[in-house]
This record gives sequence, structure tokens and C-alpha cells, in this order.
Amino acid sequence: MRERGGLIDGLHYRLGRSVLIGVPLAILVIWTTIPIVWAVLASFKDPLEIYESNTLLPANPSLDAYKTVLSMRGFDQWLFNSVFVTVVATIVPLAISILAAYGFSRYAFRFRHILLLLYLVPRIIPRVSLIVPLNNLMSDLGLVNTYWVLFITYTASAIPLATWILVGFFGSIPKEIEESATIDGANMWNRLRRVILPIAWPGVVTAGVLCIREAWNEFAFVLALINETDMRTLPYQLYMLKDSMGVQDYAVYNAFTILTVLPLLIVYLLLERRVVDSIVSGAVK
Amino acid sequence: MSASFVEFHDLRKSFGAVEVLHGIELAVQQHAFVVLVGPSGCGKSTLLRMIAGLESITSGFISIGGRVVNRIPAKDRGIAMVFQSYALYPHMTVRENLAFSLEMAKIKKDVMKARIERAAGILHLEPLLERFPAQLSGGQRQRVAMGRALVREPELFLFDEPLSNLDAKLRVEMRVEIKALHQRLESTTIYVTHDQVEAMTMADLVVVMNDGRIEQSGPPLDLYDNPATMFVAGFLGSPAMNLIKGTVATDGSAPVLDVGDGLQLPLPAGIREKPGAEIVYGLRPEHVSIGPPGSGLPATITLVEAAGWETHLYADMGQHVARIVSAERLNVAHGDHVSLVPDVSCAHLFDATTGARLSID
Amino acid sequence: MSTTRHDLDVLTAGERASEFVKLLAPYILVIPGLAFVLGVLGYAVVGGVGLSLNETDMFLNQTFVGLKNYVSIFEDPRFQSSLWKTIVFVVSSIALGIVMSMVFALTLYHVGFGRRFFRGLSLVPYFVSGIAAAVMFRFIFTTSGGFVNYILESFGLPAPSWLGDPILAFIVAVLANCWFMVPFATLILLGGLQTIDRDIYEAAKLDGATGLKTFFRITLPLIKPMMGVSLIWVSYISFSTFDIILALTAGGPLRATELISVYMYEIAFLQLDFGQGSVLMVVLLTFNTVLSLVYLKFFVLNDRRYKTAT
Repeated sequence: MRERGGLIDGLHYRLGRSVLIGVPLAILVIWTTIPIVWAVLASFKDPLEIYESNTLLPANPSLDAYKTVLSMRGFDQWLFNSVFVTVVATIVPLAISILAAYGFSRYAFRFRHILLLLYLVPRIIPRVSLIVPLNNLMSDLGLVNTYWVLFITYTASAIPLATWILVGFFGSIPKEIEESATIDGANMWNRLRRVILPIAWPGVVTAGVLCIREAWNEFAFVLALINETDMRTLPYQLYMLKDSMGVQDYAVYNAFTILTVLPLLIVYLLLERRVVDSIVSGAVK
Repeated sequence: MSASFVEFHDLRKSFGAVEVLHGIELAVQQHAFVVLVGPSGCGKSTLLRMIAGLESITSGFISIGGRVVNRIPAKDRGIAMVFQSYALYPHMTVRENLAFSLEMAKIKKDVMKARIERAAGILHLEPLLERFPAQLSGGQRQRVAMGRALVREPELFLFDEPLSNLDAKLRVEMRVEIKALHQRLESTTIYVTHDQVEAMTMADLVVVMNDGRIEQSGPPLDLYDNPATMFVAGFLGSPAMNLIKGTVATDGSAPVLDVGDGLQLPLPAGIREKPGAEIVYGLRPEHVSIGPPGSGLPATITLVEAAGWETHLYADMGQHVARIVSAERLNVAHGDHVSLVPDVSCAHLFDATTGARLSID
Repeated sequence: MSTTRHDLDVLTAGERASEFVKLLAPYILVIPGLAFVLGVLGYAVVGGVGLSLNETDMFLNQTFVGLKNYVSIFEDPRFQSSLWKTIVFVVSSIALGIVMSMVFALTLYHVGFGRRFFRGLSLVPYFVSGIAAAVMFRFIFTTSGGFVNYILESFGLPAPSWLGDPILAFIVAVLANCWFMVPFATLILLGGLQTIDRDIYEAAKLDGATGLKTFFRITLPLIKPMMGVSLIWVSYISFSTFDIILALTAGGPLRATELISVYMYEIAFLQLDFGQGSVLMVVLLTFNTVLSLVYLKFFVLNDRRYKTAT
């Protein structure tokens, strides 16, 4: 059909194609960015501008809201809590998952299947559903309102995800490479450190970023297990702002939102390629 | 020269309840180039991996250089192995690949450097040292894999189907290169392949394996000329030996083989089998020729392969297919009726049930 | 030969120890993680079921009451209504979410320029916390000064009170949920699209298939497993949605967005009824597990390619 009309049909086809791709692409971009862009714009506006005037862009952009957030009493502490908990709840589950994934992908052993299943089934347990019994358990152990409670629960919920990703990456490394390293005189620790981990590095990075994401954004557990103001993480505090802020503080509210989101987005931006590749390749599911 | 450098004694391997190697006995001389050959699943790779220390030994023992290695870890056996997939470390440069085993053995830096340079020199790897495996061609990767084995200065080289990932032309080149390297270094080598051409052309000693057992071992031409079993006879040589089953009979005083359809093959006069015995008659394709009409067995040509240096013919002979190789360019075509003349003096006879070679007086 | 066979059958103490370690190695590697998973998550599930069978009084003493909590929860009209809302929420989120994911995945697959950039951009919401997403959506949908009403007003359209109206608030909640979960599903589906050999499309074209027919007869069947994975993800997220609702509407207005997870939080942490709260946990868990298994069965495991592969 296209041959018959030649140039005209060709043009129509190309136009049709660009509309077919262009429109959903525009929707995708707007849909994805608007909530964030709007929050950024609002954070630069005068307090009353948000509420009263109907403008898109801030009339007198100012960083006052950010200054207010940064000087907020407790902000340093919440930021520290978030960073501290995230660092621990990334390194510990990653280390544990690397060992477990190595065991699962390199050894045939009794109960391997059942144990792997036990590792993976928790991934379909809604996190929020666990808060009631966890709160009970942690109160009994006297761990409520400690960093420990967050380390433990975040680590536990990050391990299944990280292990799953790493089993996939480790498993795709040919067995011969490791056998070759064995003949070359590398013991298990050296094979893991010098051969397996460098080759599976994209997987380690992906698992790491996803651990960071889980810990940084976590809300249900921290809400259920922490109730002291000083122990809050940033998302928890962001949630608490709802009750303490009036209309005039909307710029501050938005600035706070942006500041909680920004660190993780920077991490994502730096490692975007590996993360997106891993998800698209089906290594994360 | 010592008695033998590598020895297997009653070597067995089981995976769970399944025994895959049934009591292997073999002695390998120092400096020999030994090729383990057989169809896939015959146990040759398992055997090689047991020598390397990658598979445990269920029973029996392996000794290398007079030392039983059953409980010696792979790295201390004085071996180096080249894998079918090369198993190069993808995240290391060629130099780092070569250095890895030396680093693990905590070899001094200057010794390491000298060894790498020597191996790189022998294999012409110098221009490739800073590249990564992904930047190399198949043949180059193959050479790096060999270089990695070389730097370890092993007493025993193990090759696991090293050429099967290469294209046909490169395979022939590398075959020559590996053989030349062996002649230069004189290191004892055990080489696994399923390709009988590699076995025939490279080995000092061919070990034909089938179903977890050694069928026969010996110099390549010995095996080709005097196959001990029907399996070896059929496995070595291309096109494969004609193997025709029939019943011993007599035509007047001369023994013949009745192969059905009223066809009778002449048998060597010295045959010990009585008339009525079931045997298999083996004849290499090059020992069948086309004679004048009526001079031999009637057959119909079904396929002509003109390879250039020789001609391969396939012909229907009753219910049997005959393979014929001729050094001449024969003027025959599909559908031609021809007369096949076997060279009886070159016939191999096998017991139809056991497959064992039958001797002739 | 200096070593006899007899020597080989006798292991030294050291050798026996190292054999033992070799045998144990995989378990040693696997057990630390398992301890966390079973000790925390496993305990929580079992403990939760236990709690749901007990009554907790003001002094936190527990008495076994059998299924009493279940009976009173299932008779509770507020639960029934929140169950219905959850079902409507999950179904509409899945429907909208999967369609959006598919459209976005196809767009990203076909986009001719800046593919890397758009792919990277599309995943951004995945890294925004549920709380932050909810706050952002609140400011998009605030009655005066919100982005949506700004657009509506500039076209002269009425500006509704999005978060004040039960139905509109419910819709906003679904949208916020989709914003959060669609990116991941999009990339999973994109991955599926990219595994399809382009020759197949050429072959289909030669066979006379066009646009939509190609999509339904070729593309969809071939990405069935990834569709299954995406469905598991979107329903898992929708069932567990908690932070988004809590920060966006807190269950309101007039409990219009009070999903089971929100109601559970209210009962357990504000009314301090752990028994009934745990019943809701069991309900959530059962729903999600059953749904996931159904998807696995129909999309992933039933796929013949997977069966032959494993």
C-alpha cells in the first residue's frame, strides 16, 4: 500500500508514527515529572503565593524555604537517622545476601529448593501487614525506639530482594570461570572477591541501590516501631509535618519533601544505567 | 624416562547411584600427547576433570609424577587446564588473566613478569596484553587460555575440547599450533575431544572411550588399522567404516558372508568361525572399489560427494548402504548401477554380539 | 607405587574435618540470611496469626479466644466497607496501572531518540517515597493553588475540591498509587518487548498481520511471563498501599479511602486492639498470596517455555 502512494503516503506514515509515539511520550514525561516539578516550584514560592495567586512559576523565587528546613530543630538528627539506618541496612543485607546467593548459585545441596523458596516467598508479603506482630515482638524485646529495631527489620526485608537479584547474576557466570580460578589456586574467598563479585558487579550495584531505596523510603516499620521524635527518619518526619504545618508553610513543606527525595534521586542518577539495565534485563522481579 | 607419568588404577566415578566411569586403567608416558576421544556422554570430560581435581574420585586412584593426587587440591597437582569455553576472566586484561594464578601462588613480581613475558612470547600475545577478553577474536582467546595454562609451568596440560568453539579453518590452524607447542615444550598433555580427526592427527596415544570404559588405547594408526572392537572401528575414520552384519556360509570351499538379498561377500580364507555364525564384516571405504560390470556386488549409487582431493560415494546394496572413498575422480552419477569390489585382505571381522575383533588365521 | 589402596581409604583427622566443612559450606553461607528472614518476617507472620486468635486486654494480657476476632471483624460494617474499597482500589489500580505500563513500555520501545534518557526518567517515581509521592499529589490536587485546578480554571472549567469529595479523593488515591508503581512495571514490560526477536515482526508482516493484530497475536502472548511479573508487582503494591493513603487522605474524606491496611493501622495502633488488627493482617496476607499464586500459575509457570527451561 505504501509503495503505491509513494512520497505522500510515506509522509503520512511518518507523521502518523510520530504522533503515535509523540503523544504517549509527552504524557509519559508530563505524568512522571509534574508532581516533582510542581513541588520544586512551590518550594521556591512566597508562602502566600501558593495559596492565593494562580501562577505556575514563582514570582520571586527564593531559597528561604530550604533555609527554614535546614535550620529546623531536629532536621540534622532526622537526616542523620535516615543516612545511618540506610547505610547499615544496605551494607549488612548486601553482605549477607552475597554469601547466600553464592551458596545458592554455586552449590547443589539438600533442601536447596526449600531454603531458596523460604528466602523468596517473603517478597510477596505486604510489609504493612507485619507491623502489628512486629510491634509486639519488638516491644517484648525492648527494642522499640532503638536503631536496632530498624537495622533488624530493614535488613530482614531487604535480604530476599537482594538475594534474588544476586542469585540471578551469580548464576549467569559460567561455572568454568570459577573452576579455572580453583585450578589457578584461588580459595573460596578469593574466588568470590576477585572473580565472582567483579563480574557480577552490575548486580551488586543494583541490589545495593534497591536496598538503599527500601531503607531510605521505608515508612510502615518506622511508624510502627519508633515513636520518639529524635529517632524519626525523614519520611516519618515528612508525614508528621502534615499536622504541624499551616497553609503559610506550604513552601517549607514542599522544600522538606524535595530534601527527603533528593539524596536518593542523586544516588539513582549516578547509577541509573546499571539499575535500569538490570530491571529491563529481567534480573529484578 | 620414568615408567609412566600419569596412572589411573581402577578409577571409578559415580554421580549418586549412577556409575559413569567403570574402572579405568591407563598409563601415560612422560612427554606424551594423549587424546581421550569418544562420543558425548562417554565419560571423557569427567575423567579429565577428575585429573584436574574438579571432580572427586569415587574409588581407585590417579597418580601424577608418582604421587597419588586423590586428596591433593587442584592447585597443587601441577596441572593446568584449558577449557572449552576458555573461561577467561572477563573483567581482567590478558596480562591480569595470565598473572592471576601466579598472584594466588604469591610468586615474586619479577619472576611473575618474566613468566608472563615468556608465555606471551611463545604464543605471540605481546600486542594483546592490555586488552580485555571481549576485545579478542576466538583464536586470540584460545591462545590466551593456553597462555594462562603456560605461565603456571605445569607438569601436565589438560585440554577440554579446546577447539570446538572455533570455526573450521581456525580449528585446523590451532590444531597445528597446539601440536607444535607440544613438540617444543614436550610437556605431558591430556586432550579431550569428540572429533576423531583431532584425535588421529594430534595424538601419540589415542584413548577411545565409550560408555564409561576404555574401548582401546594405542598409537593412532594402530587403532585405525587394527580396531579392537566394532565401536572403535566405526568411530575412527571418516567416512566411517562399512559395517555389515551377516551369517557365515560357504560357497563351494570358500567361506562367504550371507548378507541377505542373495548377496554374498567373500570372507578371508583363514576365518575360524563355523558356517551359521553371526558376524559383522568391516571394511574401510577406501578398501572398496568400483570394478567392471559383473565383477563384484551389484549396487546403485545414491549420492556422490566430490570433495576435490577424493570422491565419496554412497550406494545402496540390497538393504545396506555402502560407503566408498576413491582418490580418483570417478565418472559416476546418482542412479548408476555399479559393481563393488571389496578388498578382502583388508577386512575386519567382529563378533556380532560382543563387538570384539575376531582373529583370522 | 608408594601408596596402597588401603592408605587412600583412611582419612586423617584434618582431612575428615575439611571434608565436613566442604559439605557444610552451602549451609553456612545460606543460614545467616535465613535467620533474618525466618526470625523477623517468618516470626511476624506466625506471631500475627497467633495474635489474631487471642484477645489483648488493657494490660496487654492475652487470652486465647479462637476465631472470635475473625467473627467480630467480619461482622464489622466498617471492615466490610473497607474490604469493598480495597477491592475496588486494587482492581482499578491494576487495570489503570497495567494499561499505562503497557502504553509506556510500547512508547519507550518505539521511541527513536534519547531512549536511554526517557527510560531513566520513567523510573524516577520508583525512587520517590510513598509519603513524598502523597504530599506531592496533595499539592497537585489542592483546591486553590493546585496544578490541576490551575489548568482547569485557565480553560474556564470548574475547579472541584478533589480531596474533599469522597469519589474524587478515591480517584486521586488511585492515581497517586499508579504514579508510584507504574514505572517499575513499565520497565519489566519493556524488558519483555526487547526480548522479542525483530524477525518475528517481519515474519508477521509478511503473513499479513497489521498493527493491533500484531500486538494481540504476537506481542502479548510473547511477553506473558513479564506480564505476570508486572501484575504481581502492581497488585502487591496496591494491596500494601498504606503510606500513600495515610499521607494523602488519611482514609478520608468520610472514610472514602479507608483501605484495609489503613483500617488495620487504626485498629491496632490507635484503638490498640492487636487481636482484630492481626485478623486484618491475615486477610491482607491471604489476599495477596492467593492473587500472586494465581498470576504465577497463569502467566509464569504455565508458560511452556519456562517448563522446558527448568
